[in-house]
Amino acid sequence: MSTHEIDSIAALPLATNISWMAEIETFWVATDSEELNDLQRDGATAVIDLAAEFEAGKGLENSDLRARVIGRMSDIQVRDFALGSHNEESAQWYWKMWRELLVSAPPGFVAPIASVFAALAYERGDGELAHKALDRALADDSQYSLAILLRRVFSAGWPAQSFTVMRRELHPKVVNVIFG
Amino acid sequence: MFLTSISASASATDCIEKACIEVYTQNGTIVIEGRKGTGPIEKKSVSPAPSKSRVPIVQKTLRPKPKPVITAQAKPKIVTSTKKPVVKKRVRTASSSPATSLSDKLVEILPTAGIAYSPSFSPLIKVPVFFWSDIPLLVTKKIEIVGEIVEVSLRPTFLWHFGDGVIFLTRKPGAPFPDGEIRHTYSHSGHYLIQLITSWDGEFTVQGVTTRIPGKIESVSILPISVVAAPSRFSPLVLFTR
Repeated sequence: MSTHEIDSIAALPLATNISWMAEIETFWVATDSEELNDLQRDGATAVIDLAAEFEAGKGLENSDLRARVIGRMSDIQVRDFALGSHNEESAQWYWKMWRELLVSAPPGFVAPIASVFAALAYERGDGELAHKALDRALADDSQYSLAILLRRVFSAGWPAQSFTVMRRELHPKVVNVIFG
Repeated sequence: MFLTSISASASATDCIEKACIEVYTQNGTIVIEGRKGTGPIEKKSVSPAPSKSRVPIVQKTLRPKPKPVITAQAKPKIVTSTKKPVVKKRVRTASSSPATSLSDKLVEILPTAGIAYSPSFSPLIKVPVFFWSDIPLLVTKKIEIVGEIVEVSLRPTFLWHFGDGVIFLTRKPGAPFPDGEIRHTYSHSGHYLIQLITSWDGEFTVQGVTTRIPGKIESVSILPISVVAAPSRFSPLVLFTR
């Protein structure tokens, strides 16, 4: 799949649909939740479940799962898990998934998804799209730390391979925190 | 513990027309508990469910066995009366109305994952080793309990620790070469301990209502693996002559 298949990453009308926003809101992860670890586990498994749905060509059928992923991505550990959950083989499914989630994420839930999408775009060699995604992330939350960090990394011209290595090294640590 | 009732309320008196079904995790097992009726719940010890569905236990209020009342006579003798003995009847009040209930409790033990890998003999460094487990993608069970059909659906999540610090999370059980997605390449030769943590989550459906089963069930499978280096050797050219 080439990057040309990505027409736009602008928000769809669905993103501001009241019932859709309300559904996603139910999956918001509060940092002081007593069930924080359970919610993080739920979010991480939802990410790989949805990626499997996209792999099977059914990614758009399960709106509950999409809402779950968007909502759970509000947690930093889930987001970091998502950042490193794909490999060379599964990258194309994840790419489709993050794009779909990015265009359907409601305000307040865009920044983490846009940041992950930006990281994938950068690794695929599409720096322009990566910056556009970061624009969306920072428009949603101007203080979102991962988006700010990625902006610096991309602007400094870090090799994409180095970024991939860094992401892969981070992933086991994140998995250990959530599931350890 | 989580209580899900398909009747309006979870109280015992409300399980009259519709059964109350509970599904929860306990000590690494799935417990399915059902009751129907107004009587008190019989506390039973939990035991693993046999392969066949069990007959629900019918719990009724115990009644005293009738004792014949013999009228006193002058000379005691063996009574061979054909009259029916007088039975003392229990006087029932409104509060002690007949209480009849069905209750049953089943325990489902989930399978433990077995670990396999290929190449099974002396995996090499810098060559991917394929791992897989014998757990299916989805475990479904249809159980009849107190006259209700309970469909339990469970999905495993596999957390692979490859022994060298690398962790991999997946929903797929993996497969041998070349289909499996669970693969790992070791950089150094040595003995590693493969640890597979299988955690289950699922839901149950009663009369079309699907509810998530709370709690976690985790099982750990461990397998040692020895990875070896394969030094290259160059043998001198041998010329065969006739």
